[in-house]
Amino acid sequence: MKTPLDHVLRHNTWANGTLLDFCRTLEPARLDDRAPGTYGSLYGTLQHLVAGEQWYVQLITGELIGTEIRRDKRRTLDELASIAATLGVRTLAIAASDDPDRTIPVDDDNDRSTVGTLLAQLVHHGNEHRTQATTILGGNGIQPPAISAWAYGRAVGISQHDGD
Amino acid sequence: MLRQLRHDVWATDTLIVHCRRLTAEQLQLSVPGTYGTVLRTLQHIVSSDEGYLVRLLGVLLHEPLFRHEPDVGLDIIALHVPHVADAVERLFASGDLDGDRLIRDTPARRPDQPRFEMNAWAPLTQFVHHGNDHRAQISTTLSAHGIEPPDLQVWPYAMELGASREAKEA
Repeated sequence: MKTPLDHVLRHNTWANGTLLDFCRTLEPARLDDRAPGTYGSLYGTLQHLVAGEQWYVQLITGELIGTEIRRDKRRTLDELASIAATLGVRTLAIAASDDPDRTIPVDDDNDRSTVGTLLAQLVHHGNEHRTQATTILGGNGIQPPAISAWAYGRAVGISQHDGD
Repeated sequence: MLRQLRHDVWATDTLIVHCRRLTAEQLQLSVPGTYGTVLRTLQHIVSSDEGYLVRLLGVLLHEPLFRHEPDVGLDIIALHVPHVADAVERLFASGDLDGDRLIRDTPARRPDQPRFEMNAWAPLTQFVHHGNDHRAQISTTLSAHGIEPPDLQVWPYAMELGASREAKEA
């Protein structure tokens, strides 16, 4: 039996992959598109999205998935998609086996947090920046892909509903 | 999962509190590529939250339903947040949820609407996605118009609860 949290994480991974796949079909110049009020360029947002998840998982497990994604080094969308997919598998394993109340250090300032907080932040972070990416697409006249949980359910064949 | 939903409710409530400082004109702001005005997006978030919870609980939270009504005021929207918060707690009151439980219908369905069967995980997962999605649109709208949006990440929520803190080294 899959728990609802399991599906939240699976949706997160699926939505990342779907968005990255979609953006791989765009003309490269479109990756520099921006929209007011969002994080940055479309590419910068995608890179930050995956880099954030890479950091959260590293905080929880001590393991760096793929090579470190740095803002000053441009990666291909193929590379980002590959790392994102591996991170998705890792987050499921964390949710299945780790203690959500286990405390972990977050940075060098003695900040501590919990595994559960980091997983919740990972989901929030993903949804927030994917929305910024779809806002950039929509704001520049490109119909973004459907990446809601409803769309996830339909894509993997376990739900039929469509809507909001 | 309960914590995830509690963060969602907290974030929506925090955003509404923040938006109370805006003028009526600012509540009507929007940017291309988003759902609509700040006010309509907030109404959409909260009414949808209630819709997901009605489906999951199998009972109406109140009557009449809070539907997608155009341009209700911020006070009306805020009045519904406690209904959402209470329903989330009721949903998890008996322990963890079975995500595979089949929900055959929703009491909120209009007679002319098709009936959808779905497993419980679907509206729960959509609840989290939907809130984050539309709150991010509002934050984008505010930023685009030079208004600082509130920090709705899990970090400040966890700090409030003491689940994330600076350690006191001996």
